Amino acid sequence: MTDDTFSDQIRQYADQMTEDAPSALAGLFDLTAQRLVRFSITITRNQHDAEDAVQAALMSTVARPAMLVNAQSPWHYLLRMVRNESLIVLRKKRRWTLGMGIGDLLAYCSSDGLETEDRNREVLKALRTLPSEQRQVVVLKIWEELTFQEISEVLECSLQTAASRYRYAIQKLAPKLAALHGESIHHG
Amino acid sequence: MAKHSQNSGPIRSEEDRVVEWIRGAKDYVAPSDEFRPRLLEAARDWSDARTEERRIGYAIIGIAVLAWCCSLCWPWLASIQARQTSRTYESIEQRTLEIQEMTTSDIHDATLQAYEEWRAESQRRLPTVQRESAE
Repeated sequence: MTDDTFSDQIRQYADQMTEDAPSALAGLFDLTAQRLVRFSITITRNQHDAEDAVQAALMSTVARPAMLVNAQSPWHYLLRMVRNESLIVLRKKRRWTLGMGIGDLLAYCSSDGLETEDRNREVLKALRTLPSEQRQVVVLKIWEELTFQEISEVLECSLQTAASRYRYAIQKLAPKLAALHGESIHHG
Repeated sequence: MAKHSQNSGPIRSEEDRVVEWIRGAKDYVAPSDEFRPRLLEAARDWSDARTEERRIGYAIIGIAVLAWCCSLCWPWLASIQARQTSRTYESIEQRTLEIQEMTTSDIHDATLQAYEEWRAESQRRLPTVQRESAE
């Protein structure tokens, strides 16, 4: 699904909010919740906090659907809202410490095998070792398939900053993930 | 340039592999089962609260409109009342005057009658008194 189609669907649900908020929100949730939660979790590093942040963002859209309807790209706008809410939640709680938080993910993971689950968990662990800014860029680039231009808009930074954060993040992740997959990485 | 071209191939493929590994974990994180009902309940609560607020708002507007209408009608009602009051006052005043006049004339008549009686009595008695004093 392209971002434009996705954004159009979000806009349609936002349009319906004024008539029937709960059912429109249910549709919007089904469409976006997983992607929003996994983005939020890169900031909050905690499932519950991520869900709180996503809930706050979605409730804001219920209260003021016009801002989503009028946004140039509702999907990017929603990502920015979730990011802001996640930062607020993170600022309020400050309860995560390194090594904690992966445990509560296990209950909510969807995986088809134990080995895949282990590998995915290790990938997430490796992601968690990155600074928050780099992690957000990686998630938006690889999971959400945004361009650097779009990432720079969502994260409110320059295009060059987004690109360099991504490059550094991949450089850091490469040896960790290679070791995980039993391969070696050749540097230059 | 040639060196760069030689090196960019494996570097690119390494990056691609890293990207693939990360992409593989894309669907690992999912919202919890209770998240959806919790959010929808919050939305319903919000919606109900909003409806209640709207109802209160309409009631306040209704009261305000009613008060405004009353304020517009008040001078008109007051003028009607004033007209009615003045009429009543006039009629009361008229009646008072009539009663007063009637009473005055009655008193006058009564006084006149009493005087006439006294005079008649005096004239009847006066010759007797004069006669007694002459004797």
